[in-house]
Amino acid sequence: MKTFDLSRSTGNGHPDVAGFFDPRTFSVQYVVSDPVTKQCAIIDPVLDFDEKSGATATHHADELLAYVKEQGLAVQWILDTHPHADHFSAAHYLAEKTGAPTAIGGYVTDVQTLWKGIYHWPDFPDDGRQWDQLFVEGDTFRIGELEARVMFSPGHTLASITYVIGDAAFVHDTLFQPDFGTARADFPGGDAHQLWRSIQAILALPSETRLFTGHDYMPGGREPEWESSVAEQRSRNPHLAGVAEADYVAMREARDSELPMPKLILHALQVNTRGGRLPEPEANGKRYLKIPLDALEGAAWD
Amino acid sequence: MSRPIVTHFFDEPTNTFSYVVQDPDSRACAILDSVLDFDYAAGRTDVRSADEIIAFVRDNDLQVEWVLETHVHADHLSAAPYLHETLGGQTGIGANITVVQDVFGKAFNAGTEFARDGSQFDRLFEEGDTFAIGNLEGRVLHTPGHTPACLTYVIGDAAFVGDTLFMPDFGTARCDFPGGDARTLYRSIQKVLALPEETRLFLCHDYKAPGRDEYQHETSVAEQRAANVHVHEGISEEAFVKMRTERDATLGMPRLILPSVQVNMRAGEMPPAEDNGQVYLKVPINKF
Repeated sequence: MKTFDLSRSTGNGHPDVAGFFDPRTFSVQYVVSDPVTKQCAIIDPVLDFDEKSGATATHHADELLAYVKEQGLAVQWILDTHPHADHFSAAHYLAEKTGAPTAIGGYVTDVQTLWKGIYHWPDFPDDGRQWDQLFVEGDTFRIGELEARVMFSPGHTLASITYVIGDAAFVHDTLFQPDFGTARADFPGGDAHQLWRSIQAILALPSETRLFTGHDYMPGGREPEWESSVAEQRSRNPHLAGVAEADYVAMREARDSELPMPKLILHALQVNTRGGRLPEPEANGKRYLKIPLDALEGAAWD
Repeated sequence: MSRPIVTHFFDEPTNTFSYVVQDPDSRACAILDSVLDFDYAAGRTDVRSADEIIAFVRDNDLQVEWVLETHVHADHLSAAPYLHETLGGQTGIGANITVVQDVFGKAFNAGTEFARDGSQFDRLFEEGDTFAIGNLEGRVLHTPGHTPACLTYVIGDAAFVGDTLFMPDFGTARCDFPGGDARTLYRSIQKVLALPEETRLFLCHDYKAPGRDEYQHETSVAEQRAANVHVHEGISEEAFVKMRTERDATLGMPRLILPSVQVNMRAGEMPPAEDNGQVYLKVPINKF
């Protein structure tokens, strides 16, 4: 199975994009680099977790670090597009290893408040202090000499953002590959209307923009893929091509009502609302995740 | 020998068989190894499976005398408290539950409210204990190996073997959970195979097997002696232990082990709610 691919810079001001696929969670992690200055950002890194045994590991994060080293890159940013529900973020681990600042969308504080209640963490600071930078719509930053811009892209979660870096956009859970469709919008804080509007803003980018998605589910058993273009999405995405907002929302809500919760949502949010940190140990020195019973309603039975 | 009426209930998500064992000469019955439905992804429980058993008991006008477990299961949550509350009877499990409670009480950092003395059950059974289901006599074999507390219930000509033997074409239970031991399992299985050869054996799980497309729940001592792929006659203890240990090393943990054991060590009760009224299960990180 293909788990790595390099999409080379298309010219001055545009990044090299290395994609790393995690077959366990179907997630794609990226190292986005400036070919001129060798500065890079890591986007949506995965901390490995086996929910059966409760074991964590850093195989995927270490693979990213090995690539960075081998290519002679310097990590300038560790970025998440949103607090993920299907895997643990390795942002905290990588920040400790590299010293680079972490960032996520500013509305993560609303996600923190929501889950602070579900997990019953009365003392949890839900002000986003777990990251070095909270980005909002229109914020800009640099990766070496590359210009990066933030689009607020809610709908899948209420804090999702898209990073536009040169001619590449990291859209994570908005659009998937054009042969698959779009992200679900039924998690706490999700909204199909908002997702539609966020997707329209992405499709308004120049048609040759390279789009890098956050997941691929390999429809029909094909090899994993994660790169498309605005033009391809406009013409081929079955959820979007020739579809009006009302029809999209009706399709999305009907489809979401048949989906069970992702198997790690209750595990993952308590790590990812903490910036990828595990919970503090109990008095016996051991760390425990908490699984609230009967706190999530409405999803199909798994 | 008396011949109980045995009705099986299958839970496909966890491959588990629950049983209602009936005295043919009275209304008395026992329920063994019930399942509480659990959607781990959303953290939801349901009693659909237990309600099927309740409907069967009521439709047949049965009197539940026992709600029994063969062991602390690692693959499903027990519905014993719900059945006990709805239908009555006494709950029972093996006396070595206290060993399991001690191990998992520590692993889950359960509070002092969690008694490690088995007092959550009405009856703790030891080797050779007997009990009555109407006119039927039940007898207890201690059959550890899969867990330290595993029992086989011999009721008339039927034996409920829990996780010792599976169907002859599938083999035997794994022995790599905390407190499990392959040599111990081999010796427990020999006890089961020493029962009369026509003894009906009722299994706790079936996973099908290569070349077999249907789930099966019943076999006999004779069939197991002749054909069990792991322990048919002629397979030595040493050979079994080597096979079992090597095979267990290749197996991942069951999907529900962490939710299951913390509920089942409490006789199927949920942990106490936090002060917001919400119940939480715990997932120990990097412990197992």
